[in-house]
Amino acid sequence: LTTRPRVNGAHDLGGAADLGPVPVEPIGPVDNERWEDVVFTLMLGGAMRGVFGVETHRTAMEGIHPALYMTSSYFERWLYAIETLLIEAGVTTAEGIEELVDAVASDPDRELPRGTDPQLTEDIRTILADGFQGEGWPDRAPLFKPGDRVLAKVIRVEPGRGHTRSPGYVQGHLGVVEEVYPPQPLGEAIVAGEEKTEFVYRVDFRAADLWPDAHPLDRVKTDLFESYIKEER
Amino acid sequence: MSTPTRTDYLALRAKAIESLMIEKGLVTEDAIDAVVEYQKEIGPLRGARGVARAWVDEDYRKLLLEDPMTALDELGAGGFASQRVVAVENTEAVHNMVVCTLCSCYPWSILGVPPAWYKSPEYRGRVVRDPRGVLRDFGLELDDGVEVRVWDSSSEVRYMVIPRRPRGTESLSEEELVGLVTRDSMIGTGLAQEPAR
Repeated sequence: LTTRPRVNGAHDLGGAADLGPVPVEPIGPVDNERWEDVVFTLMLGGAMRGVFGVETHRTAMEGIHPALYMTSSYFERWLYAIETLLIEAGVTTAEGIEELVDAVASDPDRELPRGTDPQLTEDIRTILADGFQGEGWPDRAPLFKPGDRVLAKVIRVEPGRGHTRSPGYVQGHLGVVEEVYPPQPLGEAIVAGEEKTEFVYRVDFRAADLWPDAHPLDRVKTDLFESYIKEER
Repeated sequence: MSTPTRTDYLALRAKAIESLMIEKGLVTEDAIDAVVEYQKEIGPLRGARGVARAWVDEDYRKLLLEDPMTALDELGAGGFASQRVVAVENTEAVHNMVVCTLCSCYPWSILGVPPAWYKSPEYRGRVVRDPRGVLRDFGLELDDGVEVRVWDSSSEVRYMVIPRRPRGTESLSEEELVGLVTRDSMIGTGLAQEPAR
C-alpha cells in the first residue's frame, strides 16, 4: 500500500515531497503584519462568543479549494475560513461580504468603531496566558499501552465537511504506541455538534514503512486519537 | 497611486470582516490590541532559557524531559498553544525535528510567532519523508548514521527540541548560553550557535 499525501484535502500534506525547497528565511524576530493580528483576533473573538471554534475553523480551512489553499498564506486561509463560518452561522452572506469589501475599498482609511466589550478582552487575555483548556482524564482506561503494535485505520472524509486529525500518510500502516496522553476533545465529534474526548497516543512509525524512499534509520512520531487506531495481533 | 499588492487586498478584506464582527459584537479594537501586545511579549527567548538551564543543570534537564510542564512553568512559559509540551533531546545519535503536517501547530508561548517557512506547504509536506533534504535547505548536512525523529503535532500536544550544547562553551554562564539557542535549533532545522571567538 503506497500512502499518498492529500487524501483528505489539500491540507493533508505529510509526505508531499514534490513541492520544491523550503522557503528558508534567516533567523530573526518574526512579526505578524497588522492585518494578520486582526485575523487572529477575529478567530479568537468568534470562538469566545461561540460562533465557531478551533475545530470548525480547521474544517473550514480544509475545505478551501486546493488551488487556493496551496497559493494562500497562513492567515489568508484563516480569513477565508472565518468568512465561511460567518456565512454558515447566518451572520452574513457571500454577497454581504463582497459588498462590505467594496465599501471598505472605496474608503480604505475609514476608521472603524472600536466596539466595547471589556469582558471579551479579558477572556482573550486569559486564553493567551493559559491556553485553551480541554484535557482531562475520564473514568475509563485507555485501550492501548506503550509497546502495543497498532494499525492506523483508513479514514476518508469530505474536505470542508468531515474532519480528522489522522494524517493520510500513516493510514493503513503499522506503528508502535510510545506514549499515552490525557484525553483531548475529538475534533470530528465537535464539528458534528457532539462533546467527546478521546485518549491520544503517540505512535512511532518507521519512515521507510511509510515511504520506500525514506532513510532506513528515520522515524515519524504521530499523535493519534484512540478511534484512529486498532490493535494489530 | 501604486498598484495594490495582495497584502493590501488581504488587509482590506480583513478590515471588512472586522467591521462586520465589531458590529455584531464578536470582536473589539481592544481585543486586537491585546493580541498585538501578547505577541510582543512572547518569543523564542522563553524556550531558550529552558534549554540553557537544561545544559547547565542536570536536575533541570531531567525535569524538562520528564515533566516539561513543571519545568517550563518555572520559566513562565505556559500559555497559548502550549498547554502540553513535550521536550525531546538531540544527542550524538539522534536529531529531532518538529512539524505540523495538517495545519501549522506550534508552541507559540515558548517559541513566539512561527516563521513563514514553518507554515509553508514545502516544509509541512517534505519534512516527514525527507528530513535530511529539508536540513540541506537550511544548510545542514547530517551524518548518515544519525537517526532523525520527526514529531508531527497532529494533536494538541506541542513539541520542542533541546539542541546539543555547542563545543567550547564550558566556561559560559547560563545567561550567555541563552544567546546561543536559536529558534530554529528548538524546531530542529538548525543547531545551537557556536560562541563568537
